[in-house]
Amino acid sequence: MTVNPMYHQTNTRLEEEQVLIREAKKDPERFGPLYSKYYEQIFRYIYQRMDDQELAFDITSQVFIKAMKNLHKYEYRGVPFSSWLYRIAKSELYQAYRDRKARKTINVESMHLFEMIEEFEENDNSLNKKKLFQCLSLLKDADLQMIEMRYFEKRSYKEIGEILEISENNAKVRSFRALERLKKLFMK
Amino acid sequence: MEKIKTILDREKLSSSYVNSKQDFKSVKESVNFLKKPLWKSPLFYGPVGLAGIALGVTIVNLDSVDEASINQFEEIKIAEHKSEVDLNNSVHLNQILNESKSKPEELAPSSKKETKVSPVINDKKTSFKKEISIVESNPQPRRIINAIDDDQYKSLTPVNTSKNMMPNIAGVFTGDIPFGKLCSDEGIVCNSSLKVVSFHLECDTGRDQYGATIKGNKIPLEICEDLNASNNFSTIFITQIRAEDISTGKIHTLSSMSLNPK
Repeated sequence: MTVNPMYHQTNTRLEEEQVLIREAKKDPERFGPLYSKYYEQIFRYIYQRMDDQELAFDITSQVFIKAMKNLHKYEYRGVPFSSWLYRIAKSELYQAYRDRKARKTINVESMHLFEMIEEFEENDNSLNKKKLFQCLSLLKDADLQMIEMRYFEKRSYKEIGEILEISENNAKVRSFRALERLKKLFMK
Repeated sequence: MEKIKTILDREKLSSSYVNSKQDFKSVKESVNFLKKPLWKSPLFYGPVGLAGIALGVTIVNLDSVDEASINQFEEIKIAEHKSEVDLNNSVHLNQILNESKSKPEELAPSSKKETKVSPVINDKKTSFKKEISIVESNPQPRRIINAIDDDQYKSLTPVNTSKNMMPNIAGVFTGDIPFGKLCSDEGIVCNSSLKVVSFHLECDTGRDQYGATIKGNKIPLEICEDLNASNNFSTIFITQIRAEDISTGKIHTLSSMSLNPK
């Protein structure tokens, strides 16, 4: 399975990013480059999980407002700055769900469904696609989150671990278990 | 359970469209708008905290000062009230005695009246009983002296330097005392930190009976002259001796004295 290379950064890149963060901490005006760098990623993460485009843009802005406000609390722990932004995005997203502003949504591409059915060693037909589609909506939040990040967004286990603040191995185990549970539902 | 909406193959938004929605200016403005209110900043707590502590200390100090002055004031008031009660009762007793003198047939009932007022008149019950018997045997009215003399009060200075709380006249607390010393200028003294401001005196000179609250620390000259003239020296009871602490201004009640002038 291919993974999204966007997240991965070299040590040099991470250090460059830290310089930007330090500058932004001193002067909020300098947050601009970080905002431009991560805006699209954060927006796509949010929009992936809801169907209201305008609200997704609003929530994205909220994420950056919070990030700027709490930048003094940010500590570098050897992971990209984006993992911290993702955590804020996740919290803002769940707040939107709780406030009934947004509805939980799963956006799936046919290609992803095909890959999953292939993993289940089943035939790729419209019936199975429909069935898998239904099974996804029956998954628990945590399992769905793992499936989305691993199979739809193509994130690496390392990245998933950093976003969810768990180890890479734990992310691997959890995503495997989530897939198993989806398979069980699918095979019923 | 909340139903999850599922969307298949939603149209993908282009990167240029997404990035066109970037608006860092409005984000900055929102951050400035949502900045911490002043009362949440640590800078606020420094001056406010100090001011609060200063206010607290001031209030506590004021309270303690008030309490001390109130206590002092109350003690003085109580002393004055007791003196007034004693004086009033003595005056009342005098009136009764005058009446009984003018109407001899009513002597017995008036004596009863005196007995009724007795608990109020005197704290020293034993000495009072003695007084009553004297009154009955001697129709002479008691002479009331209220030697309230401000100059005398102001001029008072304790002579004794010892730290004991026993009042004395020329070093005598109780028992025999030479007549000359009893009426000396020294008066009742205690120790260097206490100044006697008032006392109650009960005595019988043989001619008159005295029951008076006296301001100051000296036995009034009038009584001294009477005692000297009569040459009948019975025990003198000095009770309710109030002394003021020079340093704190607090009023203390000292032990009663009984003196036998010779």
